Amino acid sequence: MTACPAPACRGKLVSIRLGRKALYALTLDRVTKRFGDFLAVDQLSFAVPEGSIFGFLGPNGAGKTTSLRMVLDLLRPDSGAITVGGLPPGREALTGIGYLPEERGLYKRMSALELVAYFGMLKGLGRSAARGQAAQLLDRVGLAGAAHRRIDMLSKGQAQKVQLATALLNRPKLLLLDEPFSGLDPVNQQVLEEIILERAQDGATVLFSTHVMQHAERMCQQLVLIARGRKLFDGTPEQARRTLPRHLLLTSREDPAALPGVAAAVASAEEDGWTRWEVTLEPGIEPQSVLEACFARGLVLHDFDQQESTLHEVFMHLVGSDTTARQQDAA
Amino acid sequence: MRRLCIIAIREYRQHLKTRGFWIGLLLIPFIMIASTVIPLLLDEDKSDAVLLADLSGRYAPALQHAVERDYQKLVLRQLSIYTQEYELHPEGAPIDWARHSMWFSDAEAEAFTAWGGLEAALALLKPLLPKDAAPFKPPKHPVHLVPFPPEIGPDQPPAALDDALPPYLKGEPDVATDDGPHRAIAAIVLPAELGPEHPGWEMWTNGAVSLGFIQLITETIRHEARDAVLQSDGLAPAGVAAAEAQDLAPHIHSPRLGGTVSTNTIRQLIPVGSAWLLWMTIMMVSNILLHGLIEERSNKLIESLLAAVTAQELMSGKLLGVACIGFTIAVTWTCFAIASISLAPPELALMLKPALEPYASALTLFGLVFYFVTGYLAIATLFLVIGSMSDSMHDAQAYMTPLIVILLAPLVLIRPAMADPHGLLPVIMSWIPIYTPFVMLGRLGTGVSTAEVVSSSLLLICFIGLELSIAGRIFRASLLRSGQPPKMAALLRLCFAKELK
Repeated sequence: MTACPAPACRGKLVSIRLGRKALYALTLDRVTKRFGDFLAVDQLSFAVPEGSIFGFLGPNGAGKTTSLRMVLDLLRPDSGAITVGGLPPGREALTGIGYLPEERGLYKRMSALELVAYFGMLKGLGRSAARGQAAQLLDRVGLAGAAHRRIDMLSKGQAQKVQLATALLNRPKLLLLDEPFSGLDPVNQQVLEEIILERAQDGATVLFSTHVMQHAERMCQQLVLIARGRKLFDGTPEQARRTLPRHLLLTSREDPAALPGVAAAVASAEEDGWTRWEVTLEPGIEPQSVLEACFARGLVLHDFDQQESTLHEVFMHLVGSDTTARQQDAA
Repeated sequence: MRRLCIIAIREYRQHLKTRGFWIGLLLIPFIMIASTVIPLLLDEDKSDAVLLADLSGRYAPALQHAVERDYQKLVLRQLSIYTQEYELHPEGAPIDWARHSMWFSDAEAEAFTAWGGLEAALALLKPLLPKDAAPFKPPKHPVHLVPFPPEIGPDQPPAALDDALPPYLKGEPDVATDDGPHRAIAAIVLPAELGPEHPGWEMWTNGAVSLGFIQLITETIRHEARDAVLQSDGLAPAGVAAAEAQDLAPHIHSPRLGGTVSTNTIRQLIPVGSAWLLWMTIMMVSNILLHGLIEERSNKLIESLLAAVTAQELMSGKLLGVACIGFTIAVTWTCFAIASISLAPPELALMLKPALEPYASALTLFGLVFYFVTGYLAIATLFLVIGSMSDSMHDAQAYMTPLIVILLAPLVLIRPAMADPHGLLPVIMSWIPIYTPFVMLGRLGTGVSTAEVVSSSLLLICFIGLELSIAGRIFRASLLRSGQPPKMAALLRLCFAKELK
């Protein structure tokens, strides 16, 4: 029995292991890491459900890579606990992890096939099995024709796909992808998205960090946003969007500012006596309640559009707020 | 262990694919082989002629006699090799010409000739020879002393001879000798009178005359002139010559050395050579290790590797893989060295025999392997640590310079140390772990006590254990670090920290 750090169950004791099956592929519980005076990760807690696609978001220097390195046991936390499939980070846990680091590099004088097979063997595959899987994966990432080409003869994008293939070897239960989309063209970003979805459908847990919120928006079932080593948000994309005030676009002949739950209404255009309003709701107010208030007060509406916040806006809002708060603290 | 071996095999195979490895591997053996084969190819066992004009009539017989005596020494040398080749132990010869020495004195050559020379020797050997023995092939006379051709008057002024002799010295034409026509390589004119008040003797050469031959002629003329003075003073030259011919050379009877001065000098060749070979091999493979690690760091692939294997496995795998490269180099070079010795003239092989004798025991061979492995681990680990902290060779240089200076010490000191393998210097060096393999390798065949070998080896093993443990900490902590390499104080803190974070 272990304390689950997920927000939904914080403070409760829940079983995260049922026999050999863990409910969470990865948990971090109040993990802190310092480098000298620099606090890289500060009391970070979150849990990644098994089989989910999990977004690990944050600006540069937020502590994402440091956190992932602690998960891989490349660094040891100063305090806090990490479990990977119920196991502490280490040799045994490592066998179930596929990792694509942010800083990528390969042996330049090896062929793509040799290199992927080499990593396969390091991950416990036999020589022929490793070569077989390497050939399949290179085929999957569109490099079948370049399998026997030396790495230094491949383009940067091709080399990146070779590196991705090394992470996918031996069907890992937990895929940790650090900025996997950076450096890929849109077509290959689409291929990578498909591969991530395939792996998730096969039962793997995928955690990826990214700066490109569209990817997280499209793929993540859950996400964590951190900045300066601290967690700013932990939940579903929908919950993330709700951290921002909701917006509406409505067209009416009267000012909706007096409606309950409306924080502000700004007229943006007028036509034939109808005015188009950009409405900002108070925090926690749902558009549905505003619509009901319109009907209750007899406000005639020409149209009523809910405006969904994007994760990009959420990101900018949360990270910006955190930066402002810290600057004020420092002042 | 499996991952460790996979890493080691990759390291090994990747380096085998590089051109630099093969150049390094084959260049030194090529030099070894070339240094023995080329002289063999150039050595044609040829005879040359030397034109001699003795206007005094006093010196020519002595010179002929000296040249013949020199030839008999050559015959004795060949006979010595021949008897050792067939392991013959002839008895009844006036001198011990079947001994392990290539060098014979004038007296021995004279005695050999008086006894009956080659003919008597072959008769003595004949019953002892195996049936399939190859017949003895006597050497050719290296030099034939022949009179000036009739068309050149030796009593001409030197300036005239300057013009007349060059065609003969170019082999145009050859000069007739007992052994057929040969090229003249020199012409000697001895004047009617020699002495302080007379002009000296003259020699024209084409540059092919050996210093030994010139010395032979000079000494013979000097002896003849001295004998004349002795006779005129009423002394018997033969008595003086006999006194001079006494063999007063020292023979060392040290319990740990034995043999002659030259034998003991030769004995140092292999130990010193082995230490050099070990040093060169270790430095070569340590550099491979350093470059490989820096490449992995600068290529940013360390993180991918560490996601699949532990830092300890990576470090050990690299050490093992590069050790195999070093072992391949050492074995290849040793095989080439053996091939080179076997191709070398028999006299060289026989000369090296006393030096190789101490290395024929299984214990010494084990020692060679042990010191190779421990020497490699002790030094390569240092290079590995430097590589793990450096993003470029420039970064590595800050640590490499002092390290190389420290590591050069055995190379500089091994020769003087081996002059007295039990002196203070080699004994102290034997107890400094990073020098132990080189110095003990040199001392192995010199009767060093088992207690000293075992205790210094135990110290070396303990040192390597500690070194690997500390190196593992630095390796793990440094691999993912970026920026400037750590300062010495930070390194020391890292080495002795209670818990590595």
